Amino acid sequence: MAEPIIRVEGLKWKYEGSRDWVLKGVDLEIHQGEFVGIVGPNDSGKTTLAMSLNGLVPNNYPGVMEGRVVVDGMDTREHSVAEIAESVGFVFPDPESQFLSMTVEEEVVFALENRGLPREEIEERMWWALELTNIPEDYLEKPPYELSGGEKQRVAIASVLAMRPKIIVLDEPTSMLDPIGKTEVIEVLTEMKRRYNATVIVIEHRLEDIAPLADKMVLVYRGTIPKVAPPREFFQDVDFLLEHDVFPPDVMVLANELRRRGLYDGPVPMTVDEAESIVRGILGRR
Amino acid sequence: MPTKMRRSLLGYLPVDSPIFSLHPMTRLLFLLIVSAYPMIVRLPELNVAGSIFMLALFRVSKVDLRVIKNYKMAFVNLFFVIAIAYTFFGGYNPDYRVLIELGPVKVCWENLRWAMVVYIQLIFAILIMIFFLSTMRERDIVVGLRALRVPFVLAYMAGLALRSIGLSIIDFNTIREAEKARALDLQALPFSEKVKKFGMYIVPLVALAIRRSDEVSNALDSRGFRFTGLKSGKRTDYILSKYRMTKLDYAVLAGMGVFLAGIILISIYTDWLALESSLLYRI
Repeated sequence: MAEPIIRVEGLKWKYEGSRDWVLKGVDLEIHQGEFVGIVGPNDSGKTTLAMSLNGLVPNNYPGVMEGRVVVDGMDTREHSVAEIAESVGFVFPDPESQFLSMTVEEEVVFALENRGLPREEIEERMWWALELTNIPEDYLEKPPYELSGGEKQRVAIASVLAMRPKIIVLDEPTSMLDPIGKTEVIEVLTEMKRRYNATVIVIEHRLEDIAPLADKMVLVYRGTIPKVAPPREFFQDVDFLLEHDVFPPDVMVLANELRRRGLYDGPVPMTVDEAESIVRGILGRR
Repeated sequence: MPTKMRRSLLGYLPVDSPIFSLHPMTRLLFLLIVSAYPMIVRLPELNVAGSIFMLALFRVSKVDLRVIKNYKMAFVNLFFVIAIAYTFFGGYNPDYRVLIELGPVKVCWENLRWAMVVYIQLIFAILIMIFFLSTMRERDIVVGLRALRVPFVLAYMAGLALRSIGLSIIDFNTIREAEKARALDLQALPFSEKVKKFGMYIVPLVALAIRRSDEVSNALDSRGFRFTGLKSGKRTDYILSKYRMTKLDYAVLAGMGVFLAGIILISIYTDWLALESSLLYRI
């Protein structure tokens, strides 16, 4: 098998002044092109794990680190965040906290200007990212602060996409958005999966949206990773997930209940359509 | 059809405002050059003319004149501060004409005249600043400074500082609303209590400012920004490349420069701009 693009080996992390380890010896391998969903309850260490993938941990936060994280051949302890940013794009939960400019156009090209790319390439990448994230041309002159929540997060994603990183980490990109905004961002993630062959790592609570997109699901619980598996296998044991404070989508809970009652024995459904065909199948047998 | 607006540092401006036909560098230099006029010229008549010119410029540039109304209390307060300062601390000369005696304080015409001269100068200067902030965006300032070959770090810091003022005002209002919701309304308290309780605003405001700077720092790093000191390194000026200096820019710059040079020369070699030429000195 090919060398993983991300390798986390025995990662332990403790923030300065804290007595407890946030991450308690985490091992994880992610391969090029994989779409990975990271789930887990609040305060389980998901964000710390995400920030360790682009070097914000340990470079920008004081604390104690053990183990190592190698991203695209770069040990995060030996490279700056700016160097790692050549390979890893990071989308923060709060879109406003990541804006660096006062117009959408400046925001999207900021990282490209930093890299010193030729003007023609900046222009081409900007239009590509805007098109992928469905941001209209007349938004270019608008301040990103004045857009709706979903639009703001789309601009943030476009700014990262324009960098064309090999890896994109999205830390709860819908957590601060209203339902419409959440749907807009999920649509962008779907487009990214369909058209952009990067490694995408999404920390997300909306499991029903992420599960159908993911190649691999990772459960983070109290600073450990008790389960890594493809989505169908990951959600097969609903009781295990519930014990770890993860609430699977309703369609999976339904399938689990049908299995418990001896009515169904197949793979767990990922979508409402799949659940519908399972139910129709059961009804048809009767 | 509604007019398309563009956000400026102090409000909104129609996108078809003629001011946008000027390069940001020209607009930035407008502030630097025209601001020098009231500093050099003390003659009130010329500063009044300058203020009227600025008001005309507001109109031509389609800046909503209501923006000036927001500062009317500042104008009034400024007048009283200057008038009081010159009346009480302006000094006394036996040649001065005493208008009123308030106990030991003699209110003299000469001191009041100075107050008026300074006030009119400041009004002109403030109008220039309001015009600048009403027509410039953070982007324009960064582009203008970059066009003047100011290092990117300094240009970006200037833009960030201006934006942080706006963000701090938003944060302050949020904190104030939150405090009000918990029955702390400073406006309803006597002055001494206001001072005591002001910490309730300042502490969260400072904490928010620190958090914001931390977030900006993380976002800058995550977008591959490397602090290279005053050298811009290999950074591409993509946004700057979208602007071109036109004949109009050169004409405006030349006009402002010639006018400034003229004022300097006239004030050095003649007494036409001296205060003694003013009508106020003939009263």
